[in-house]
Amino acid sequence: MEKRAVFHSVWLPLALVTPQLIITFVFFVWPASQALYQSVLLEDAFGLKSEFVWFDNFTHLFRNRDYLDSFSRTAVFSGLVAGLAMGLALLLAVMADRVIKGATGYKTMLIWPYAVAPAVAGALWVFMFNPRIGIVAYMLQSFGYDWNHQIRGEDAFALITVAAVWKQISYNFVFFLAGLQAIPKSLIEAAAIDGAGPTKRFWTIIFPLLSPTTFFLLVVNIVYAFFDTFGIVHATTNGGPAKATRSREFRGPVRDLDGHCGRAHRRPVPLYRAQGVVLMVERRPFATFIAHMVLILGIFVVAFPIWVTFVASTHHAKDIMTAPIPLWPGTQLFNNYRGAGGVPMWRMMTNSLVMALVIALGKIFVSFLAAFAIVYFRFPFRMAVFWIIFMTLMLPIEVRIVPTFKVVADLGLLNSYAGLTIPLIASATATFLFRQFFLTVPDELAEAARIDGAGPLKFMKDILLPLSRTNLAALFVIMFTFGWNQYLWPLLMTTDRQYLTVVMGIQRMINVADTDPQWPLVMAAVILAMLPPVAVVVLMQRWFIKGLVDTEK
Amino acid sequence: MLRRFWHAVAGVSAAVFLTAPAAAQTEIQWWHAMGGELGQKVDAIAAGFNATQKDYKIVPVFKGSYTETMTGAIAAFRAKQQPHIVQVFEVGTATLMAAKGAVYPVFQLMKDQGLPFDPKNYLPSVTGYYSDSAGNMLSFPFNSSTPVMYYNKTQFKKAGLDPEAPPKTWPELEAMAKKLQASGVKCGFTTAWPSWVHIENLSALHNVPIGTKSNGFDGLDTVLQINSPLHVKHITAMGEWQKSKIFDYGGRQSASAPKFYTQECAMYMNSSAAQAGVRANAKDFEFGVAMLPYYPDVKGAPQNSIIGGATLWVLQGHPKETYKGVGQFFNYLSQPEVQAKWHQETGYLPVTLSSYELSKTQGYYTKNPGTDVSIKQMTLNPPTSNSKGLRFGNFVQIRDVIEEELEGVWSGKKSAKEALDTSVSRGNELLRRFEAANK
Repeated sequence: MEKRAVFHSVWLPLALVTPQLIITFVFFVWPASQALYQSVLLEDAFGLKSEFVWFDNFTHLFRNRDYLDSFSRTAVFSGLVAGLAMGLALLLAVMADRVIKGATGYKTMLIWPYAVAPAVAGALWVFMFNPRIGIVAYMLQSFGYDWNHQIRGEDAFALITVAAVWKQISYNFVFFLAGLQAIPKSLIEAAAIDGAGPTKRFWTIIFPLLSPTTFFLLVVNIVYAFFDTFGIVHATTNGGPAKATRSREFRGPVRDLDGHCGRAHRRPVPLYRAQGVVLMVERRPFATFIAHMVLILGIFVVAFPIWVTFVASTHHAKDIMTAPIPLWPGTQLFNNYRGAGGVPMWRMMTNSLVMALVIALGKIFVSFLAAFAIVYFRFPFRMAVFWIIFMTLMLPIEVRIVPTFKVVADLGLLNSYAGLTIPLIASATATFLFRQFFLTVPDELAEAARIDGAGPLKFMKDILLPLSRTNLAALFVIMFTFGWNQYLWPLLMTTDRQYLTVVMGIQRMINVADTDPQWPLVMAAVILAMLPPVAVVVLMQRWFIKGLVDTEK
Repeated sequence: MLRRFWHAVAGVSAAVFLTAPAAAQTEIQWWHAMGGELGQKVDAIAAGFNATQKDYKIVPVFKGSYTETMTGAIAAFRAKQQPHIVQVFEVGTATLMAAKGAVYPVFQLMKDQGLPFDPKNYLPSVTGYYSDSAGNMLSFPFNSSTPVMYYNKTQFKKAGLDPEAPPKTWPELEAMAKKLQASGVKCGFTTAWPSWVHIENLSALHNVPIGTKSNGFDGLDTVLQINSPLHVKHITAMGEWQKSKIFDYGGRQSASAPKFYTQECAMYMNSSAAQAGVRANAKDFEFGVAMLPYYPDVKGAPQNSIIGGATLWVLQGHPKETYKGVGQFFNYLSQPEVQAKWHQETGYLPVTLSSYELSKTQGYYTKNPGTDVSIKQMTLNPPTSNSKGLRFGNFVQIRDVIEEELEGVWSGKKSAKEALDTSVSRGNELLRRFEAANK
């Protein structure tokens, strides 16, 4: 797919892609090549002695039976997570699409889990499923099932599946809802008049029309289950018991520098053109009642962990260590929130906010320019540039963190906001998404602008930018949440307390050697840390959903 | 909007730069893994040292869990950004010891600075763990602990047992657990850190090797020996007990703590440093502290237990004069008052004999019964080559392997023999990897 109408300049497009290229080279290509080189060396930890061993490291890996076993386990896990997360989300979306009253409320409640940091989500589930004090384990035990994921492999597998599905459901929900709202009501009306019942209408009209969204989500969900669940597995079961939950990626070193790569191409290429015709909506009180019930149940399941977190944050530590955990807020609310964190909470919140904002805006800015250059210009090495940027998507992220640290250190950017944010700004995915979007913008617009004498920059600013508004909002939400939830990178590269972020602060409270964490304080901090991303998601959700549906005005 | 935002960013960064203190003192970075309240105690120690002199400033930095701290320090070393002092847990010892050129051995540093440093002032089983074969201490013991057994006195009373006579041996423990269960207690005992308590310390207490070459002290070409008859006997027994809930598994690390806190299990083995947590969470019962049980039919048992915890390593690559500050700081840390305070507040072992004596004269142990059980257990006998500690490369991963295999036993999927044999073969593979990388 190529644009017909293009602007003519050589230097301008090169200037536009330069920021993206520089960041890509410095923080991706170079560190990744270092990492690749190290994979053929046998080295001691400090890098004092190294020996070139060709592919010994790889043969060693593939001779290892456990490593191969974990492959098949990952496949099962991915299938399960993708299937469940999508099926449930579709059900909820269909129901939300039906109801009119309270729809915004439902949507808002269902979108929350997306804002929870993966590492925190893991801790939350461990807490709820603890065989002794966990509320869910307690419920299961009262039904006669002796839950114990610490011994029984199947239970542990179920636990990580539930946790991973929970984290992903709200995301799928947003996409399905967007897809559903884009289906012309006239088609459904027509089918209804022809006498097709709701089930038949769903399977013969809605589901086929939804298939691009479904396919897209399938890919994203499988990628998510493969690569993005490390945090959950690590925090919940640590691969145990007896390897039952150790999936493939868990074998790698700690990863997460740019862990959103599976997540960010979630915005599909615009799928439908909504026909703004609002037709008569069916009136079927019973069906509507069922829809409300399903949604309320859905919210109960999705929001329950967050409720438990909140409740836990209002009690004394001792009360939480006793089964069953109380389900109603206690009296310690203000004490716990005041005591959350040794470093002032506002300082950590400011740092997280600066980090999240700079990363989100920086990514959008850099990617927007690069995508504009690639789509609207013909310049030397255009495709090469595109592929270099695109390649960064494929590079294994986990191996890059140590070499990237070295680069940042050599640039003197340790302990600075620049060092915290710039290495995370380069994003192939955002560039890729903007490119896909620009390709769908009618060529007539650019032609008309050119005829009117508008230069490329004016076209970009006055026409393309406003058109992309909804896409920008959607990307902003994704990138803000990504930036806010960073843990390993800020931990590795800051030594100055001035730069402590909220997620780091929470880890600091959980990581107590030899004693028990102060769970109420941890939970209070978790709730506080959740507020800004949730606020962004909720405030942006109207735009967000629109940004995923349709771009034509 | 955007412009206003950048102004805000500039404002924040300006504020940060302006508030940075003038660097009149030499800063010494101390990376550690002590989160929560321990982190505040670490800050207090640093502040205490900083107040005693003007030339150096110790800056403690929390760098995540033990593993994250170690990984972070290694990454920093490769980028020449290493801290002066880094806290490394005991199982990382072999990795740092092998990194000659990266590490500034503590005995050497103290000698170079002309500061007094006599290993004889330290608990022998602590120094043994962190010394080279010539007896030189390579790192500074900071927080050491050893596993002990906590037991519920209230439940003991209810079961008609003497709350002041906890079981000394495994057969006694089994009998008492049955009595406890008969009185309505759900499970006899649970444990934290399965490998550390039931493999590593079991070996040391019975004077049985964990691996060849003096548990790895005498060479990298060591192999594991944790499938000996004693190990198989103990793990088989635990597997059987799991079925009758005399033992109930509760997860790795300290995940099993709630089982003891909620009085589901009457006995609980964990680090001596967990005592503060036990005290805070033992809501409706009295608890006591006892030594780990042993098998009376094994000759020489109980020998002595070995430690866990972490030490402070000094990294190379900084200007010479800064190491003077490091030496002074270690000197400060060794003072009986500082050590005794740290020991009493945290439950970690007093690593110097003088701080142990000081705690005694302060009456700490009479006021807090049970707090000296760990020290007594550590010093039962002079350590032998089987009980002075262990030194295996890649031991972080090996411990994971052992605990994975043990979980197979608890769930009844594997026999103890199978699980331990597999632990040995998988562990040996990791040992060979380490040997190859550190020739």
